[in-house]
Amino acid sequence: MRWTFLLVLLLSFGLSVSLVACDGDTQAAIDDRAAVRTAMLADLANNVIGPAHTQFAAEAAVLQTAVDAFVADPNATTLAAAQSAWVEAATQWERLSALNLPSIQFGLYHNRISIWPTDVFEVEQLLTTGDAIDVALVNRQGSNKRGLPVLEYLLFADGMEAQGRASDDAILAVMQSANRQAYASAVAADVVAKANDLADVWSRDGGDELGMFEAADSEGRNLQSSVSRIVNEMAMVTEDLRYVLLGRPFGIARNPEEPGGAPDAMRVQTPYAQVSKQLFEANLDGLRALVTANGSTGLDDYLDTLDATFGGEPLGTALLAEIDATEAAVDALGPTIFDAVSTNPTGGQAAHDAAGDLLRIVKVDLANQLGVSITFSDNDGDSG
Amino acid sequence: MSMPGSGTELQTALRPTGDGAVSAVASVPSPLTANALRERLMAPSDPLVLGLFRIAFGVVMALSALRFILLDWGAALYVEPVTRFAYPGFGWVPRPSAVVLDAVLWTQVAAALGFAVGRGAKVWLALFVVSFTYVELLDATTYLNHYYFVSALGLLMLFLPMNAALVPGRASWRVPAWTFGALRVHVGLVYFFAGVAKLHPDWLIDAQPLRIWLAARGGMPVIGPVLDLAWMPWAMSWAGAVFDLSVAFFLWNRRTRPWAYAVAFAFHAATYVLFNIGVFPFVMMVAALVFFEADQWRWVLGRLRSPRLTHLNGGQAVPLTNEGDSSKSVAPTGAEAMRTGGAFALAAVLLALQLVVPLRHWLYPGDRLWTEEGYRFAWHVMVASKTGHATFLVRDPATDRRWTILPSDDLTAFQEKEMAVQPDFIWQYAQHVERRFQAVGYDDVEVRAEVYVNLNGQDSRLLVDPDVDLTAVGRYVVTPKPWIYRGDP
Repeated sequence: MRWTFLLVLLLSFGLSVSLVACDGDTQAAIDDRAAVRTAMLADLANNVIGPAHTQFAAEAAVLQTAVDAFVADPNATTLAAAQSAWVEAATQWERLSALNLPSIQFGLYHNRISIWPTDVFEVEQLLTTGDAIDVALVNRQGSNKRGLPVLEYLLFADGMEAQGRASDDAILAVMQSANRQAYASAVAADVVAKANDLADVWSRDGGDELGMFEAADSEGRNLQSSVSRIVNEMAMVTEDLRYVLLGRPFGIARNPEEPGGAPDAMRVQTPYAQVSKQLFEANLDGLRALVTANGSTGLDDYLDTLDATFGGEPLGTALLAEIDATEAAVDALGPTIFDAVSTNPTGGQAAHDAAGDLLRIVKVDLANQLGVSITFSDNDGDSG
Repeated sequence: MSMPGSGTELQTALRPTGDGAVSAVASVPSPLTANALRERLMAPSDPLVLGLFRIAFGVVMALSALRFILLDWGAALYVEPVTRFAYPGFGWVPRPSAVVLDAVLWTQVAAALGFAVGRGAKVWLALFVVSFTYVELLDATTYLNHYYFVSALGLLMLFLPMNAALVPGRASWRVPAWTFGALRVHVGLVYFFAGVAKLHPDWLIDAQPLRIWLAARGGMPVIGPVLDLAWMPWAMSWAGAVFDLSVAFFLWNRRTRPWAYAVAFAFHAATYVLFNIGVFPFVMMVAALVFFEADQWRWVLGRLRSPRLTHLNGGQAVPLTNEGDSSKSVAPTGAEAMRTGGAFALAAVLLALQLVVPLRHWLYPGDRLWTEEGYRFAWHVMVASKTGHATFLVRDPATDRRWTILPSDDLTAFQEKEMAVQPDFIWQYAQHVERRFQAVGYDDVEVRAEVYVNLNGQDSRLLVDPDVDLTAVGRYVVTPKPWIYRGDP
């Protein structure tokens, strides 16, 4: 009886604390949270993910047309048009990086469209084998001999010895090769095919990944839930921005086998086109789009319903501020990251640090506030 | 038919000895003198509970090991990682190949089933405890409270006559009452200390981490809207704390036991549905069964009217004597009494450890959820949501070359996640980094860690001093680690 009395007393006290303590979390706000979460998933699907993939497929088609025109009549004008189309397509592709939501299926498409660096030696070997050069040949190649990085090499370099962007004349000279022309055309066609396939997988009329994304409501610890996939991908992209896109070229080595303190401009993302900065910022655009849903209901709105804060301000605001700060640090590097590697190593370290601050807020604070686990392991209990 | 124990007469008869023991002292409560206590502890009792618990434990452990094998976790957790994190003093535990690990896991399955059957129970149990604990010792990042519970409980059962009942082809014999008590105390301590761990401002005042976790589950079908009720995190936090603190006492009390078990069952079922915690709820559902007494089990088994079960347990009408085994005396004497006394002493030592070890975190300064000092082996179950990111900065003093080490380059995602929030693992990883550099000719690098951790939704902050060269400081296994930031840096 005494125990029962004590139990009732404790539960009553707990209930009182519950009612008092939860005063800040009004039921209206909580109900709003559910509605916002649903709206967020719908808006991200309809206003960010779907349009981004459709846009990339369109940019890829423009690129193919420009590449075909160039190989049909290689001259300075068609080369410039092809190069411009490549930059547009590559930029749009980088905006998709944060939308490569963890999935084996998407991983395959992404590997075929853009894995860098290209193995230029093997590409040159391939052009001399005597095999018929067509889309079928491209389809048989590994990721480092196809996709946008190969087109960058063909459209901006004059051979495997190139140490940066070649002159138009040099590019036009090597592009007289029929095999080179055929390979550029086939690779462009392959990129378009893969871009269309990927857009179709997402499309509501096709694989309807958009519908599944909306339906996989937020259960943060369930790795298949949409919120979990978003946060995990944001963390992975940010890690790449810091350690790969900036750390590698600026010689911020990350293992003892690498020569620490040896900057190498050829390790930037696009050593030939030299638009690494633009592509870096496109990645940040992709992250920003997930936070704001391009002006509709995004991650920032959902975070507001959770009262998630960082440094006394809303976590969504802090997140956007860190994205802006990283962009500013990269912008301060100068016209190109390629040149900054040799002229502005201090700026490189500063950009690396700024990306580190962004990584911290994504991987630690965002993940924790959303109850997301940054891992792809299952679980068998509680580690305490 | 009414439950046994619902009648006054039977309650009175059971109170002194428990577990269906009938003796002259049973119906007359005696003062709790040393002799009376000894009589109670040593009172010969019906061993049915031990037999049933042995079967349930064996079956659940076999299923747990099978699940582990079928999900192929062995390779992912223990073979593929290029490095591992050791418990203090257990760095010597050899790493298995994939084939050996498979053999060990299948040994767990066989040993658990062998233990459940009961023939050679001690040998099977020893084999299970050794193989199970060996796997747990392979990598400290895989620590789970219920894995430790299984090892500890298994060790305790090695000193108990778990084969005293329900062994095919063998008669049952009476066992001292303390044997049930030992198991109940062990299970009760787990619940109680899990409740003590919840007496923390984050849990009681801020309702964390449940606020985070429940909000993340608001989209669940059917129950999502319930989880989204504004007061739910606080209500669940308080109910969880009260449950953990009190359930062992209600399970111990014969009158409240069925209701307490029903609540415990519902509690563990809810944690299974809400949180991705594998077999842990099932282990506790089985463990809590040990509180039921023999006559209550006989009542249940009688209701099932299973001829097989009736045969095994001897049927409700079987007198509680040493039928069929005259070699076992009701009151242990001579060598057996000594053996029982020795087992009692060893079991008492194990339980004393279980009473003391979970309290050790009070000896450390700062919040144990943050420092994790004294945190393990103390039943801190689901009281912290921690996320971290660790970057290791290496400098070679001879050349002033610097590197930024990304742990994901040589840790699995799982290892990285655990390492990034636990100071001891951070220290171990720094030593690993130093060894990597030594292997390629850098004899004496400095390794510093920049680790940001978010605990229960608070802003992320530095966990360890980023200016400390972790290769130049000790691990501080027992004493407080001076290189942890205990408050705001």
